[in-house]
Amino acid sequence: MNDRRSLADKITQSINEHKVKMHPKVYFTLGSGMLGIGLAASMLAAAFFCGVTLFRLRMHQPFDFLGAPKGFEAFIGNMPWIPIILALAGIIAGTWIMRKYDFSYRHAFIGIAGGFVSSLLVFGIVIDAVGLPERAGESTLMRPFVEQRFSNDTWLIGVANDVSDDRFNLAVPRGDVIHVYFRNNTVIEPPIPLQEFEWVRVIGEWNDETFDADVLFHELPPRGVGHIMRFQIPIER
Amino acid sequence: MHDPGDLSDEQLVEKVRDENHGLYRHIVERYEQKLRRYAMTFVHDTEVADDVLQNAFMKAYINLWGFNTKKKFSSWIYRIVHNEAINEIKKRKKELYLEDTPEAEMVESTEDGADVTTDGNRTKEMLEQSLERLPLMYREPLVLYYLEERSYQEIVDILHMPVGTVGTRIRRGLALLKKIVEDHHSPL
Repeated sequence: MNDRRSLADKITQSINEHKVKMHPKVYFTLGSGMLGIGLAASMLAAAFFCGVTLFRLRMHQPFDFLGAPKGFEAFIGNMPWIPIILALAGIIAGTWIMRKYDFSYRHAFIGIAGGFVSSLLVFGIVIDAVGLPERAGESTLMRPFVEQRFSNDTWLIGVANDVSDDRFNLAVPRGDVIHVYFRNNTVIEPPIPLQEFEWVRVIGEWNDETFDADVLFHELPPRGVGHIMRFQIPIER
Repeated sequence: MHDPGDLSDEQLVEKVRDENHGLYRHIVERYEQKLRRYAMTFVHDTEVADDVLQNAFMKAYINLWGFNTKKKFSSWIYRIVHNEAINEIKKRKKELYLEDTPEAEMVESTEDGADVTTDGNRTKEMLEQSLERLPLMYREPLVLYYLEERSYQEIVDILHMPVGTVGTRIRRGLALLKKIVEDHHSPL
């Protein structure tokens, strides 16, 4: 049998019998607060990891490896994957939270997302410029996100010294010194002679305890290298 | 003491929240007819529309403190009905939803409503049938603007889409509606 009471009667009865209860004001205040905190946290995380990503791209310039012999593995090894993923996660979380805000639907989503990503990139550039990633590298907690390896099976990064016609020593961060040998067909980019204490990147392969160079890239020392690497170049005079 | 009938929606909401929960009945009575008609835009079935309405009013009551009284209550409650109706359509997954597809439009008969008696009734029925043939994305803003007489800004708040999109959908919806009327109801 149909319930013939009016809608107003049914709802009023449910309210009077406490079958439906109003959420208290604090429920919504807390909800808004949590939303705001979540948005701020995701924006900060995204901006910081954008900064770290830019810092590490500048430090290792992974795209330079592409196109060189065995360069792809060096490219993969030098890309700051974890900061990129964390920055993306922050951007996705921030955009998702923004869509929950009242104002967001009034504007085209693509505009909001574009504005959000652009502002994060600007913050990221600023964070990198003021040297925050280097300082974060001093902290044990943040080091895994900021730090990068400086040697692998097929590539090395460091400072050349004791340079001769067929070999040089490469001081890599954390104090190791590797003997690197030129091959007959080693490519030097750009093709100018290697200088003492020059920052270089090398692609090649290990030969027992030494490393044979296939490609050598001249580099300028990246800014902030002193903070993060605790570099000690063994200078023999 | 104010008669609840003299209060604006937003003032009444404040009274319900702060003083007397029972006054919520006046809000329900104010909006019941309008919202039932709006819910019918989606579900085309009075019993289902009543269910949608009841759920929407319950949810509105539960979340009444979440409503910002500086904004329009009507937009807020329409939005809740919109969400409830969409949920209902998804839940039922039946012909109501299929009606919105072009394929369904193709197979629909043009002979419906042949037994109308007066020109006025026939025109009204023809428009209703044509509206039902419109995809929901165009039907909803058209109904809100022309039948429910909501402003663009209110439609923005109800449908949660930018004002430009609302304008575009109303314009395209009108063009589509015109085409449907011409195709299905042109004189022999």
